Amino acid sequence: MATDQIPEAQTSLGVSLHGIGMVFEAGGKRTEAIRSVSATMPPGRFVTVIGPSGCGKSTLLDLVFGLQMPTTGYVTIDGEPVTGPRRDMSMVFQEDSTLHWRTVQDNVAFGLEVAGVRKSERRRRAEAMIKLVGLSGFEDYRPRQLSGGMKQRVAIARSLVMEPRILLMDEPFGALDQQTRWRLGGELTRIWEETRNSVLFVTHDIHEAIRLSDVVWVMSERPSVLKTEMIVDLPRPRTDEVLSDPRFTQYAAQLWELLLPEIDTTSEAVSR
Amino acid sequence: MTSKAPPAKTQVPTAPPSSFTEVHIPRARSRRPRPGTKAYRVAVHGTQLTLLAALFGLIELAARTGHVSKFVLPAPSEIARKLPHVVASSQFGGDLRQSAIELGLACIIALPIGVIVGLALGRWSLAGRVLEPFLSTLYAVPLLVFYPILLVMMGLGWTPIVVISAAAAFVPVSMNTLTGAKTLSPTFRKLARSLNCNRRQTYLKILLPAMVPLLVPGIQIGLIVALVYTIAMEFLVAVQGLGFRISYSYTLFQMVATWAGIVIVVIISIVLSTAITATGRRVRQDLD
Ligand SMILES: Nc1ncnc2c1ncn2[C@@H]1O[C@H](COP(=O)(O)OP(=O)(O)O)[C@@H](O)[C@H]1O
Ligand SMILES: [Mg+2]
Repeated sequence: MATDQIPEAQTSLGVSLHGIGMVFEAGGKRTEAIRSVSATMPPGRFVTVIGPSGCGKSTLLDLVFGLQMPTTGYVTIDGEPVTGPRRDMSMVFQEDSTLHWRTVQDNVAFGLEVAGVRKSERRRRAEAMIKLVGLSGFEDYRPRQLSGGMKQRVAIARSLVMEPRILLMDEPFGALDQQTRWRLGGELTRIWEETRNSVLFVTHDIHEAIRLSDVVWVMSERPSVLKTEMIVDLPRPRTDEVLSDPRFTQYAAQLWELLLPEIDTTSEAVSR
Repeated sequence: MTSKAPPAKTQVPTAPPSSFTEVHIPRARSRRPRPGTKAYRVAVHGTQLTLLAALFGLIELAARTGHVSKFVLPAPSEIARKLPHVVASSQFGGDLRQSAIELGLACIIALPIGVIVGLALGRWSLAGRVLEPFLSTLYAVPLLVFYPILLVMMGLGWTPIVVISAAAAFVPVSMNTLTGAKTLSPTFRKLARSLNCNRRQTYLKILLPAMVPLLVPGIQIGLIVALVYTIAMEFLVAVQGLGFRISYSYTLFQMVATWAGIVIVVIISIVLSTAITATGRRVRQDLD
């Protein structure tokens, strides 16, 4: 298997989900978002979570990150139970999370500033990261002067600059048009192939999932379980040529087949 | 007329016989200046100044011809002549300082407390739900009615003035802060947690700057309310201050001095509120 040839980054961490379930009780309403998910994310892999909207993908990321605690089961990172956000993890959100009163430079350096990193080092690391995400020349711009895609680049740079061992991304390209989305996906692939940290990436876009991932986790509709783990055996570095690989089309057809029965009944299952 | 040369009006292209009627709109005919141009601004301000001048002229006329009693409204020219004397008088400096101290104290008390209470109510949603109706009701209460009680408790002087002005300014500041806290995108809090921000960093570096667009108008209203209450309270309980001087002159039937005091207070209010608005706009431009 080609996935076995991927060199495992020594610094990245493995994540294990041990039968995690999540039930929300809000206003007398009970929502079982996640029934039970057990899975292991090997270190240094790009894992994508795909599933119908509302099935609990964002919740799953929150649980891995420790922003929320599961109602059943637990998450471990290299064997250690997760109890809250760790400094070696970082999250990119779906919505615009740039700080609109700060410049691009100060946005990217924000996490370092909070962590008490010296100003000169902040500057150096932020500049390198701005270059990596292709925002050179925009250091002094404010978010309102940037397009949606550029704002997400800022958010990605702000996460990457922390050199996280695990990067969590919740539909980071969800609000972008398709071309921008595909191009940013390509750049994320290029960056990831250099850094090789562990990534848990949420999307509902089948092509995006295949182009980015080593492994795709397919979730069922709510209350969700992990339906299938699909290994994407496509060569790296993955360029746009991956589109013309016959296996790409096969994977896409496979994912469609897995997701179709989930999609059309989603609206029926609400809460009980 | 029908068979010979066509009349001039048929030269004008007529509407085609379809439902999409072409309407001929005459363009660039109007000599009225357009909004945004310099001519427009000149027209606006010119008209405003003319209106003011006309108003003063009318009053002047009415006062001089005796249509309005001198004990109600002296001629503006007389008030204008009196103004320098009032400003130069020995009391004026003390009055101005007294009012400034009261206003300043009220703001120093009301602004931080208003912001902190607003943030706290936004943070603990139950407390917010319980207390918000009280706050918004307080908005409608003329707090001036409490002055006799404060007078009994604190005596004649600046304390009751500061207390009531601060309380009045506190209401809009805390309400706007609460609204800001509630309407803030939850992403900001998530970001703070995800970057392991401590509480200080969360508020000072993320939540407060993000709320500036709502904080600034609240503070603006708070400052103006404090000014109004300071002057009003000085009418009632003070022994010094701009408001006191107006009511004092009036009790001595010195109508020109009374009016001079009124004009001074009006001018100071205009200057202050203009400065507050301009500062607010600048802060928002810098932070938005
Ligand atoms: N804090 C919460 N309180 C109550 N219900 C929630 C909460 N967060 C998420 N849910 C519910 O859990 C389900 C999964 O949500 P989410 O994880 O956002 O789904 P996805 O990201 O897959 O679209 C949804 O039905 C949502 O309404
Ligand atoms: Mg989601």
